[in-house]
Amino acid sequence: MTEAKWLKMYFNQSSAAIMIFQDDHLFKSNAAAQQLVKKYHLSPGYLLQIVKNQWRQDEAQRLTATAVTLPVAKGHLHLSLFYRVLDPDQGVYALTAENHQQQQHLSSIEHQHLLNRYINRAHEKERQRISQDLHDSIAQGVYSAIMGVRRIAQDQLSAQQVQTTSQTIEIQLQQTLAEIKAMALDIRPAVLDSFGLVPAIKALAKRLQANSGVTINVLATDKSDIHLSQDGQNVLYRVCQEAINNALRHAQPSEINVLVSNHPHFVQMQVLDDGSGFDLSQYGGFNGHSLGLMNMKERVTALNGFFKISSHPNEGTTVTVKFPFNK
Amino acid sequence: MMVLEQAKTDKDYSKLVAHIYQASDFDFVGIALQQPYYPFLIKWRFAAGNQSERFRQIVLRRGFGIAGLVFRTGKPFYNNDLSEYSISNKLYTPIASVESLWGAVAVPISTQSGAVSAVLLAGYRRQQIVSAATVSRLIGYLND
Repeated sequence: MTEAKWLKMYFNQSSAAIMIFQDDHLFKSNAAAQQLVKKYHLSPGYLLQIVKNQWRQDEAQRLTATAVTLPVAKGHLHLSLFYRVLDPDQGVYALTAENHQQQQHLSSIEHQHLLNRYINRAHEKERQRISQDLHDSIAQGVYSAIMGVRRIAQDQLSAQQVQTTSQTIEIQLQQTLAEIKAMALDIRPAVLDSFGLVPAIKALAKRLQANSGVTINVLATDKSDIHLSQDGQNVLYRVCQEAINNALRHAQPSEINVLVSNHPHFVQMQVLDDGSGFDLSQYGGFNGHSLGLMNMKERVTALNGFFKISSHPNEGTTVTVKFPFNK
Repeated sequence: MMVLEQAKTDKDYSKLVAHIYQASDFDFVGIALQQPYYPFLIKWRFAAGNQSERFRQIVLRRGFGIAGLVFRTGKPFYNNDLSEYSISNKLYTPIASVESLWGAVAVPISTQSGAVSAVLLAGYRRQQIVSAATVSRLIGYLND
């Protein structure tokens, strides 16, 4: 291919709509421009008029840019228009239009990619933690028990020693069993399936309180989860888990309260901590801290729920989730 | 270096923490005991210099945090700059977070058969470095 062909290809395939005029007549336009004109029933001459109007105010410029909002069949079209003089002697100029909606769409794709990356990384981290727990806690416990059994197998031991050693082994195995149960609970609480949301949250709070020493209270109206789908209950549980873990990890709270309340048409859950809090405006962008929050929000809104975080430095953090009842 | 101090009674433990707290410059002294029945939970039972009663809510995990590592290994352990560790870290020590300890040392208290039945922990709220020498000092108090 020749250079001219490449340039022509790029001109045709560019995501911006490009139109080249000579003496106010459309001379050439690319695919995006033809699509734009066709899709919104725009007249190229009309766009040219808008931008020329702007340009006349400062004729010395060879380039002018303006943003317009045009009423179209479905709502409004937001365009950035760039007017560029190519050859003033022959009256040739180019008009480039960029569709903001398309850009917004692109940035939402980018946002989705970031979130996906975060979720993948979080999954990987979770697996790493489970694997490490299996190795450090479960494997170690079983190994200690094996060593104990070997000790008994040596026959120099007195009856008394055999008894104390077997007792030690039993304790070790019981503890390992307790660890396995705790890990199973961490990965996916069976309580959630069999007894519902509130008992699951209470079990979670009890466990995290034991691991951290931070007081975690759960105040819930009875049967608050009765109208929620399994998906809704799962998401509420995970949001609660994430919010408590976030607080324990970043905020050094002395107390965390979880409130679950039933309202005529929705169920509300709030997780309040008295920790260090943070400036929401600083964490509005993408970073490790807010991606967790962003992920919570995505999961809630995917089920038509409401999600809000309020926080101020030194005033703690409150996470609020509301779910409409399923009919 | 094993600490083969014999297991004591509750009364002895409570006297021991009070004695160490008074005789030393530690800001906090505590003893965690394993329950003798299922599910054999390990909890902080005795404390001196504590700033709240929140330590009673902690259930220690074997192999996690300073005291949990002593329970698992049967060997003394110490660490500084404890506020660095967040909850998912293996070295996160809940007692340090609840009692605002900057550095802490812990030594095992064993039964006659050699199994660790309790852990004695002492620590500082100020930035005072703990080391193997601090461990020896704590063992000294234990064998007084």
